[in-house]
Amino acid sequence: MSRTLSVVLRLPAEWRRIEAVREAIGRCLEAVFADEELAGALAMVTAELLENAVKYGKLDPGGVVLSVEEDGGGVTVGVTNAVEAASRHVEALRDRVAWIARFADPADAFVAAMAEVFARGDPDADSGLGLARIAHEGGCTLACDESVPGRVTVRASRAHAEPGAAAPAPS
Amino acid sequence: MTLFAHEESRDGAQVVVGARGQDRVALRGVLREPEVGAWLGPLFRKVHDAAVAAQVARVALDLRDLEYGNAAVWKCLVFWLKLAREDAQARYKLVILTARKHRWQEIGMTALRVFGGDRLEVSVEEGAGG
Repeated sequence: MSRTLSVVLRLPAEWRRIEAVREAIGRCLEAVFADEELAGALAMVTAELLENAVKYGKLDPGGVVLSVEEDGGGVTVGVTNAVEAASRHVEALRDRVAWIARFADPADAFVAAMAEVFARGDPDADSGLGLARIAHEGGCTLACDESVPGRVTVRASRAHAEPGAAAPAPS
Repeated sequence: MTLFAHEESRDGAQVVVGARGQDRVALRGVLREPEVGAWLGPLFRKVHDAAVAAQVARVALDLRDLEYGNAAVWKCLVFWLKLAREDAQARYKLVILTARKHRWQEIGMTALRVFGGDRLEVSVEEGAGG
């Protein structure tokens, strides 16, 4: 059976929009893949990436662009937003993505990020826990793309094995 | 009941302290405000202080009807565990009630257990709470 998953949304960078998008993306994924776990995980990934874009991005008339696409046995969620030149948030984002990639097991990255929160003792401080959650709970590999000046794209990619098929080889 | 009674509705979520007349905090709905830690952290601290003052043995945090919580919610849970573990006056065990249908809870609790030590007990139930 053929199927295509390609969703692109451009939406205002407003927090109140995120929940509706999380629910919608979850329903789309469940309809296409009939996989409740995958749908829930990537709906969470979508929400966490949008939260970061709204929270740390630069207000821009172009809003925030969300893409959810199937590509070669996997699904990639991408969120692009405008950023201030030399934004410290972009540097923090880049560092956090690289930090997570150094863990062989993303569960360890999530625990380590929680350990930072524990040590800091401030539930309101920035932590990067959402990105570690994307890697662990979402089962995603993260990438940060700064190739377009003034914009940053974070992509979260997850392999998706068809029911009954062999799992994709690790990249 | 030894905790104070408190109930409030947030955007898409409900928070009840003293739920069911017990030493229980219930979070329901979808909790994903931009600054969750700014109010949930202080609320957890207030519950902790009340539990310490009353020397209760057990405080339940009922998440069974919490459909979704963002990463900021996890930060608040870690914060509460820090309070429970590092306050020498604290005697209570935090019992977190989760529902298997909310897989995000199951996955995250595995990590949270690392920080709970003997102060944390996680109960997983098949059905929703009330």
